[in-house]
Amino acid sequence: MPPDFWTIMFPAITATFLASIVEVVEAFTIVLAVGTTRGWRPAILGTLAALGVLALIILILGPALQFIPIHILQLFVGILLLLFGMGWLRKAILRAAGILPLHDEIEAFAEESAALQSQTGTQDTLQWIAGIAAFKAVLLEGLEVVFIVIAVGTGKGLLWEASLGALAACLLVLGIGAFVHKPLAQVPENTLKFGVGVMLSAFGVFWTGEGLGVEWPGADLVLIALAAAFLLLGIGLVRLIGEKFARSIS
Amino acid sequence: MNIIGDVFKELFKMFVADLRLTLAILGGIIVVWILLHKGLIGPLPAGLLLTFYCFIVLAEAVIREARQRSQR
Repeated sequence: MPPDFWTIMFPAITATFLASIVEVVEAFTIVLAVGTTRGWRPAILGTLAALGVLALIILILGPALQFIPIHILQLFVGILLLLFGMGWLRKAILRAAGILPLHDEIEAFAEESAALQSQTGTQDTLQWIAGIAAFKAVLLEGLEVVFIVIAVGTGKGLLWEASLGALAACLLVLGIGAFVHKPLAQVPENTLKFGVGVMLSAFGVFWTGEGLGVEWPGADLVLIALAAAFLLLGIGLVRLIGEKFARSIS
Repeated sequence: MNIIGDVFKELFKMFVADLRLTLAILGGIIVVWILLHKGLIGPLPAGLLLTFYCFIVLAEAVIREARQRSQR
């Protein structure tokens, strides 16, 4: 087992795995709507085409970033992770406190199905539109997964491990989705988003600091303390704004 | 063209969910970098400053959004 397994590798793979579950569940809802409304051929072709584009982005960007000096790369990736992770954490806190509505997969499925059914044209045109809808959903949701895989993976040379975490999530969600054949509304998306936001924010502070020349006490171990601190802050904020503001909204 | 536009919109949204939060994070990083490279603070206090600054801007962004939504 590598010496930094628990401090770097495990959190990195877990973050990509959990983030991928959130995004794949959202993409699956659209693909399912396409499949049940217009048939599985455009749904599968659109999905495969988008997955191909996403894989290509990882294969090109991942190795290319490794030519950048490590301090510059860590600073660049750290800043992006901070912006992205704190954005996710902010949204997850607001949703957990009841300030923002939770993402509803059943509603998303109904909206997409209705949008597809309202389209008119020849059978070929409708198939084409459905395929594009599946392609776009997988591509847009997958972009966030690709970013997390590249950002978390390149900082410490864990691109393949992070990619496997994302792939595992993809296979898990698709497997369950194919079995139940309905939107995966039971997945606690916001809890996962909260957890990933905590982890990415901690990675972001850590790598931004490393890139700036900060000397962290305990080196990689400080990541655990940073994640714990972001988690406590997040939970504290949920309680604070939940009590203070949620009642006035409802 | 529509898909490419949506891709760029999605990329923008990924990093700029809340413009003030994004600007605050970037501003904080620049300030820490200046303080560190001018020798005004050491590497360890710089890390602590960056960490606590991130906590503060996150809390501010969350409370601001909650307050705005409760006043609507």
